[in-house]
This record gives sequence, structure tokens and C-alpha cells, in this order.
Amino acid sequence: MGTRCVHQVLVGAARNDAITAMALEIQSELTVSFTSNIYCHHPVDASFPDYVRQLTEIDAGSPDDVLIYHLSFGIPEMTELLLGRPEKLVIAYHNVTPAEYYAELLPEFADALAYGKSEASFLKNQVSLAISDSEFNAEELESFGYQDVHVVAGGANPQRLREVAIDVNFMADLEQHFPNGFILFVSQVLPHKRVDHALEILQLLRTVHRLNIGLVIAGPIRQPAYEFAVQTLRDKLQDSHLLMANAVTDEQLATLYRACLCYIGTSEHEGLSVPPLEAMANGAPVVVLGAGAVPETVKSGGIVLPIDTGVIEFAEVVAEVITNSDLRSQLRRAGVARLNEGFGENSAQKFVELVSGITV
Amino acid sequence: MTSEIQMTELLQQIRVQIEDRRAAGLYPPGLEQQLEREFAEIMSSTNRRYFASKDLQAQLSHLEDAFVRLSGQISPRSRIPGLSLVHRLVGKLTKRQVLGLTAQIRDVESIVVVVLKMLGDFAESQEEADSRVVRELSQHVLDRVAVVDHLAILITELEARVRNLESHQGK
Repeated sequence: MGTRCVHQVLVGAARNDAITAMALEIQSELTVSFTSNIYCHHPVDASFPDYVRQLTEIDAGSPDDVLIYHLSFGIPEMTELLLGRPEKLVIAYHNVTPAEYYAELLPEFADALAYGKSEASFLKNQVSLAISDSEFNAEELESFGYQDVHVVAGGANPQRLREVAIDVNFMADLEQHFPNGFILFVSQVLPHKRVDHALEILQLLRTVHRLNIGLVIAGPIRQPAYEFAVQTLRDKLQDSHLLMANAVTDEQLATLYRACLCYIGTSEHEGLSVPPLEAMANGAPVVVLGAGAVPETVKSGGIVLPIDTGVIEFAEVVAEVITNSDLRSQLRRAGVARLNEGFGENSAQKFVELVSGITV
Repeated sequence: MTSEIQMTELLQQIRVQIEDRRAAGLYPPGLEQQLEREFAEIMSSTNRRYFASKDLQAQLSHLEDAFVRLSGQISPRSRIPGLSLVHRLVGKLTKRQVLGLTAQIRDVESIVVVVLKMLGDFAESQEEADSRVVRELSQHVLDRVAVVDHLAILITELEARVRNLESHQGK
């Protein structure tokens, strides 16, 4: 551990949150050469390691130090704090969800998202290094006037479950629940993820294609109001064999990826999207909507549908994958090839190398 | 690997299948738009329904807590010297009435809590019944639309046959 400080700043840290997971991976590389903590604006879960702290505890800092700010939301106090800090600022841009998905359901949350897009512009002159986790995000940062944006999905590790064993009891529950198998969507339950579309696809698979299968949505329920809307749709569709697993353990997640008939992704906005890559790493055929960074992330490792694909066509493709074993094997091989092509390197190390460049 | 050509072929094949299924009446016209509209309606009412139900539960819980705390015991303590004695005296003089009144209020409150819970449950079950009726009606409408679609296809086929027959007769 060095004497120079390189800290990371997050809006919030939560389990099963992709940005938190990336920050933790980066942290393990940072501590090799620097004194490093992770600071959060929102209250920190007591179960996190003690280097994940409340932002109010941050030291005064010096111009030789570095702050890495993971931008994915907008909070004016955060902007003000960052603008007043003496450290060199690195922006790690993860994209901000378009506010319109929340305008009706959670207007205040929508306002914060709208502010998030402006925050990148407000911080621009203070930023010494800009890193985005996808080309899609880099283009957006450039549209805010940033130059020399580096693209590194720092801390993204799709192979992280490789050594994780399956959860035998969970597997038995799944087999009992869905004797003919299930399709899987790993995602936080949020409006822009379009869980409603996943549910409608299931309905079409069961009624039109006569496939007696289920759907598992694995991911934390971040907005109970949206979950309420999804449950209302579920009641309305009646015949929805849906399991909303909420947050799951790594063992359960590995079980889901390895046991599912097909991984689906219906999200309409993605700045990176790691779950399809994890699905590929665990041998699941992947069918996803080509939203945001998804086409560049998945590439030829799965079926990437045009963004305007409706639920009917989506369900038809999934039905084809489920019933066509040749296509399924082809997709599994394509997934492995995709991972070999672009995710062999240690992305956290590469990220830290970039940051080290400005500490000299 | 899924090459670009195979993907294009797969999607073309899928689109042909969709047309076949549409012709067979499995996908009524406008189905996707209708599903989209229905979820938009759910989302627009969620704010009101979800938060109203959450608020009702919270207020009922506050009411129950207040009900438990209702004891008729009022502290005689006062910051003004000597006034504690007066409060204690008044307390003793009115104790019988205050306790009687407290008991009556508790009786009324317990009924109020039960009635409010019943009203909440009633509103919820009414809403479920309404949405069940809407669901059934929508299903009937969809069934009728499917029949009309099928008839439209039959008519198109009949028209084609009539045109064929007419052209044969003309020859």
C-alpha cells in the first residue's frame, strides 16, 4: 500500500449492484500501490468491508491524490463536493438511465436522473482523466464535450462465477417449480429493464408456442412501486409461471445460468450489461435486445435483436432457441468464443494502469 | 459462431413464421400495441394505487400505536413551581371521569380501527373484482377480434376465388 491516496466515490453501494461490484474489483488492484477507500453518498450497508465508508468521513485530500468518481446518477451535493476537492478527478462513466422511464412512477427520482446527465458537463473542466466502460458511453461523454475518453470496463469480470459451485437445494426447488425448464433474466427490477416485456414473452411462449416453461427474474427489487406494477400485470396475465427471485447468492446465480434453457434480456437502456456475458461464461444461450451498449458487449456471442423488436418476434426467437438443439449448441459455442475474444485481460488492472498515469 | 448471414436467415425464417401465425389468428392485429397500452395504464395508475395503499397501511399502524398508548395517565409534572401539586390534585379529582372517558374512547377507537381496516380491504377486493371484470371483458373482446380476423381472411380468400371464377367465365 502506497502513501498516495486514490479513492473511489460512489453514489451508493449495494450488493448485487454492478457498479459496486466493479468498484470492489478495482479496489483490490488499487490497494497494491495506493492507499485507497471507497466512499458512498448514501448510507453504507454494515456488512460491507470497512474500506467502504460514508462520504462524510473522507479526509481533506491533496492535489497529489486522486478521486475516481463513478457517475451513474445525479446529486447536486455530490457535484458541489467534487468541484471543491483538491484531488485530481477521474470520471468513470457508467451512463445515466433516461429520466422518462421514471417520470410518471417516481418523479423525484426522474429529476435526479435528468440532473445526472448535466453533472458530467458540470464536472468536465475539473476532470483529469475520463474512462467509460463501453464505446456507447464514451460517445455520450464526448457529446458532453469530453476528449480522449478511454474505454475500459474496469472491474467487469464475466468469469467470476467460474469456480462457484451450484446450490443443490436451489436446483431442486427450480426443478420442482419448473419441471420443463425456465428462461432467465438477470436484472435489477427497474422500469427501463422492461420486466413487463419478459413477462409478455413468457405468456406468448406458453400460449402460442405451447411451451410449458417458466421465467426467473433474478435481481434485487430496487423500486417496490415498479414491482407492484409488474405484479399487477402478472395477475392480469393469469398464466404467468414467474419466479421473482429478488437478490440471489453467487451460488444461486451460477445455478440459474447453468440450468436455464435460454438467457433473455429485454432492457431498453444499458451502458454495459455484464449479465449476458456471465450467462455465456456459464454455458447459457443468449437472446437480448440490442439496447445501448448491448450489441458491442454481446457481439456475436448471442442473438442480438434490433432495438425495435416487439415481444412477438422476441418470443418466436426464444421458442426457436428452446426447441432447436443445434441452434442452442451453436449459441453456447459462440458465447465461449466471444469471451475468449475480449475478456481475457484483467480489466481492473488495466483501469488502475490508466489512473496510475495521472498520479506521476 | 452465429455469422451475420445465419442471423439474417434466422430472423427471416422467424418473420415468415409470424406471418403464418398471424394468418392462423394466433396473433390478433395490434396485439403488441395493446399489450404496451395496457402496461402503460397499469404504470399510470400504480403511483396512485401503490402509494395510497402504502400510506393507508402506515396511517393504520400509527392509529393502532396511538390506541395502545391511550391510557388516561397524564403526568402532573410542571416547570412552574408549585403547579405540580395543583395538577396532582386536579388529576385526583377528575380521575374517575378521565378513566371512564378513556375507556369509552378506547371502545370507539377499537371500532374505528376495525372499520378502517374493513374499508381498506373492501376497496382492495372491489378493485380486484373490477380488474377481473375488465380482464374478462378484454378476453371476450380479443376472442371476438380473433373471430373477425379469421372471417376477414376467409372473405379475402372467397373474394380471390370469386375473381378467379369470374375471370374463367369471362374467358
